[in-house]
Amino acid sequence: MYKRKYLLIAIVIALGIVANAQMTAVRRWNPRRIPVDTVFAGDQACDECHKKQFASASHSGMFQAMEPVGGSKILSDNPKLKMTVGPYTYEITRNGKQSSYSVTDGKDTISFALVYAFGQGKMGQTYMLERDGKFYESLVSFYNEPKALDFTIGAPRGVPKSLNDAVGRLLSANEVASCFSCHATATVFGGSQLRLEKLTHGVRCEACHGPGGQHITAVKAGETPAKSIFNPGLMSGDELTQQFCASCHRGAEEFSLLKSMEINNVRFQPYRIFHSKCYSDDRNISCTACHNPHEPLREDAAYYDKRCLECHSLRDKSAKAGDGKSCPVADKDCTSCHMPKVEVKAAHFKFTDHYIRVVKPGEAFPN
Amino acid sequence: MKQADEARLAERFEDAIRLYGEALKIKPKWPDGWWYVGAIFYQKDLYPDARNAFQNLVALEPERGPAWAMLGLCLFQTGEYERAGVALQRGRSLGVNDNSELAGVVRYHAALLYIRFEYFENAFDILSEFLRVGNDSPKVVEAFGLTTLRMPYLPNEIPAAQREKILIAGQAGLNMAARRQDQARTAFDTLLAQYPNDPNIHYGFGVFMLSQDADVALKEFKRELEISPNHFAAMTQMAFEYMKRDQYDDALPLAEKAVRLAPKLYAARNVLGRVLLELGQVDRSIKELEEGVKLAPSSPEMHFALARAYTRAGRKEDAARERETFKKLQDEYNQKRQIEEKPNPQ
Repeated sequence: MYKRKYLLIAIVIALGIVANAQMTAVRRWNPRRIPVDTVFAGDQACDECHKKQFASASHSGMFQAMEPVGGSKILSDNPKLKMTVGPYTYEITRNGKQSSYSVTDGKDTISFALVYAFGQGKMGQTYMLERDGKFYESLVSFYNEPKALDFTIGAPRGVPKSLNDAVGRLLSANEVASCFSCHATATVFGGSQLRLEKLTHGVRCEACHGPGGQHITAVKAGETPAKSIFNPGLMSGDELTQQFCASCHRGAEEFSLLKSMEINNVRFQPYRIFHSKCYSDDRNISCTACHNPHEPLREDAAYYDKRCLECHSLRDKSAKAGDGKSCPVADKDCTSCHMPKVEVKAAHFKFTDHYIRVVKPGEAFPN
Repeated sequence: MKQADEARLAERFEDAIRLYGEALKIKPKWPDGWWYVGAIFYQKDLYPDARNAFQNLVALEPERGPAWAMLGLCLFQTGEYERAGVALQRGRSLGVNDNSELAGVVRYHAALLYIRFEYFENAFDILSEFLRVGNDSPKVVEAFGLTTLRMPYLPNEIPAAQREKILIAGQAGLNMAARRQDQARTAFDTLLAQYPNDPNIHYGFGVFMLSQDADVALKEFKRELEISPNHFAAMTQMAFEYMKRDQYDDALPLAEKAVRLAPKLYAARNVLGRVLLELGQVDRSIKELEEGVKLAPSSPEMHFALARAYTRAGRKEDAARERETFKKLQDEYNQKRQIEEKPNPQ
């Protein structure tokens, strides 16, 4: 009996040492702060050993945050998309493996070959257009719910002043870097260097774990593999949510600087969850407590109940659950009431509000 | 008291001053008496008398925002700038917004004092409030110019030879605040062409470019340091940018030097603390961030950074407390903004 107990303690201590060693031996990785001299090993190298996770992750939303136009299901399934705004007519047309974006005022037409498609299509897809080294955000985007074009979120919804304005918004260098650094892997280095020749669509393994070369070398040398790759799962709950995931999904601090007060901010989950009463540094309330980034998003409310019940008790106290406050109304489908869906009309989509709370009937969207 | 009010309403101000004075001798705890006599003194440019009247009023009613605001304006006119700054800020935080004319005057003078005391970023934020109410008057442009060029002058102290440059910089600053990028860029281009070696122009342009092209911004900050080697604001901005790029070793010396040169600049403490945290120097980081919080207790980002450092140090309760303060400050800001953005019924 004692032997088993000591063995258990020894294992716990050893695991703790390994975890700490990981955090100290491997350089802290920030998905959007890629040093200029970083060399990525590429997905295939990860797939060689992590087949199960790779296969599952390849269907996740993050993997598909950007898709190659040639293989785009959205563009293939919707070969002719059209929208009219005042005198301007937009068309996104499919021709074989290629798509083009054009806008005309009836006299003149401006066309672009589509190269960069942002978004997995669950909500929609926006296009970045390139001409003479300048990048534009398409004024119109594809939305999945109506299967049609509409104004890109944030774009002015009026009639453009000119055909040039009708194309879209000229993006600053920072904005271009920002788009690619969150929707692609190994593309933006040193905060601003765009290396589109290295573009890897979507958020892949090394986007979150950092370059894998050292790890592969260590594995081949028979060393402890965990010491040579960054594991975000070992971060504290708050750091993971508000620093790591928030570097793309946007956290509370960014909003304190942006001071945005629109309903559109429901899209930014780290910011929303930060305001929840139950939010803390605990990993049980961090992003990965509920979402496994290596698999597609789970949409069944029952799946998330288990997460709530890690802390909250059931009304039937004999059942297995946490010892926190129980809900007086129900023991299941917690998120359906406490994390309501909020419709962002401009996005043609209902987002789950991650501000976990007791929602009062008729209350205004709390910023 | 009644006679004093009648004289005021009939615009017999000399009589009103005398009558209020007599009434206040009999009833010194009459707040409205001090308010009206103070206002008449102010209107007649008798600032020391007006100051004394409002001083008495705020002693009686310390939560009366407009009284603090008027006291601040009087102190500004008597040249007691430090006290004026405190009083104006008190007035602003207690609220004078139901009187939009007074709010505008208070805002302007508060910005001027921030400029004079070299808190240019605070001045810029306050001046930006004018854009929300559609005020881009020449005075506002001039104040934007002073803050963009980091010149700690009051308007009547501006050397004639600098005026043109300040007005161009004002257009640059005002358009930057209004997010009219093209117009701001044109003004900065003019400044850079006409005054390429003057201090603060490259810094101002760098700040403008930070949100658009950080590489250009860094280049401008470096140029500024060639012109003004002790430009701690440029060092602070560069340190933040290097930190964003994961170049902590480049950020650290700049942040350390900025703190040495400007120990009261909370932004410098903020960036130094954050860089140290990234480099694993948690204790030093906490020391800098705690100092930053002392310097700027109402800055949400300071509390957020300190919470993160406490988390890293395993000080869970301290971290939770700082996170709560961050939330509280953010909520207060949102409430204030919601009130300000409510359409004016007038």
